[in-house]
Amino acid sequence: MTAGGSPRRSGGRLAAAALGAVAVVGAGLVAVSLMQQVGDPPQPALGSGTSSEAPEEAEPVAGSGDADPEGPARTADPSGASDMTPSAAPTAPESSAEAERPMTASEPVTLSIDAIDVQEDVFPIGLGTDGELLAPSGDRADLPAWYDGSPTPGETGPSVIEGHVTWGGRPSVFFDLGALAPGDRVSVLRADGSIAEFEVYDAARYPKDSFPTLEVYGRTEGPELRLITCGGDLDADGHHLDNTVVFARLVPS
Amino acid sequence: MRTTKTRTVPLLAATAMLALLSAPGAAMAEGHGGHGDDEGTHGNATASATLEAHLIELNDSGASGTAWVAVDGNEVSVTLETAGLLDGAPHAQHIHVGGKNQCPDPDKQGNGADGALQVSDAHEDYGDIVSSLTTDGDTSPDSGLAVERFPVGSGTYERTFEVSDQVAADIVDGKGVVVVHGVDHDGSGTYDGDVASDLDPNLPSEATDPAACGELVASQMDAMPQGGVETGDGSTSGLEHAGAIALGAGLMAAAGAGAFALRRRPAQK
Repeated sequence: MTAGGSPRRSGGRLAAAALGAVAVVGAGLVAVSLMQQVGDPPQPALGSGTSSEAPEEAEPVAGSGDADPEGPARTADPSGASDMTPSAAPTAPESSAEAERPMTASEPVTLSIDAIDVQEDVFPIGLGTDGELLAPSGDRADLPAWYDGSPTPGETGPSVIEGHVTWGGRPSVFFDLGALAPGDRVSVLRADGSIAEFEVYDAARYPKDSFPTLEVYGRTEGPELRLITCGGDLDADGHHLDNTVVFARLVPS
Repeated sequence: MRTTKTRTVPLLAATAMLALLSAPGAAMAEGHGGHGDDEGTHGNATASATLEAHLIELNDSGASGTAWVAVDGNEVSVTLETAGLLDGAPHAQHIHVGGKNQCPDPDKQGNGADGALQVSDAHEDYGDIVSSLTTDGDTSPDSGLAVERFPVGSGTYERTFEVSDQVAADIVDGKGVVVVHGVDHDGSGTYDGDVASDLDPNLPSEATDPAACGELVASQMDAMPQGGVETGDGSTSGLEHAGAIALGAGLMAAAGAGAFALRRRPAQK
């Protein structure tokens, strides 16, 4: 015991010191936790489940502010319907001055989006038993995944690449996806060594319970890309209520 | 061993046959390398394909919709999302094949009230009913006017049913046209009016006049994903490390309580 102090007093000091240490550890925990707070992921304004036109007919517009209040089903356009003759082959390049020439099929290898500092390997992913698009998990949870039932990037049609906005409580590969704006470039290195270069022309956020299937996955005139992640508020189980979708089309690389 | 072998060979052959037959289905489920290669299976009863349709209004109904259809052999799975239909009223809906395999021009004049397009007016465009998209029971053309088994108002319809080889082949070949009926021409909020239906004289024409139509064309997807994606396991928005903050705060509180107790102890003496 220290000199000049009664056992009780020194015990009291010890206790005080211990309490002080506990307080410091507690304060440290709080401080470190607070320093690691991450803001909201950026996201487009909430659409009502559709924009006013089917994406293949949409002009490059900023945001999804032109969303149609009538619900997900209103995507039809007479000209669009007549474009699609019943005999059209699934991947037949349709004549158009606007659409970039489609590339041959080749699976994506690497996804690069300079605007949001993304450069990651891409792996193929399929559908679950209920026909839902599976999400990356396990060792590859933080990698973007290409839906292997969609065209490969550069082929005619909407090639679909999804990624998590968060995983394990931390930002994941598509955390900043919602910050992409028309004109931003997305490039995909393919297995054959070629690069499919896309330009963003729209971004939108849709409630999952009224996901506009054909607007996102429906036929496109030329080669296009859909980048998909989660967004919006969380439900009681901590799942996002919305999906953020970025629309891009092939441009000369 | 030999007997086992002779037994397994035909079994293997049968399994291989099955695998071959179901290959298009497997390709749809797995999707690997299945892009744009389903032309080869057209016209085959075991064909599989995914098709889609954008429904546009007829008769100025204000209705619209999207539909996607998966054909796997004789099994047809239909998802039909509609909007803008008359609420509270049943809407007959079918897949048609025949005629020019197309939707009529929305401006086409018909024989209904004020030139409204009736079902028979569009027959030359989309032909006959091949499947009735009922909510339950029979889905054959016989149920074409089974008003009590069709969806009421707008919404999402999903059903899987069996069709004949011919119907499956026609749909896979892109000959199918999805038509939704029931138009409230006079805005009365119900099916009425003096003009009788060209299909059933006991029904007002409003109940059967086509409201929306879309041609089924081959999808660019091997299989249409259902709904959105689950690409977030919880947001980073809001509080991170809530547990650590709570623990830290708890420790600080405990230390505070301890200090309070220490200071009180001499006083109690």
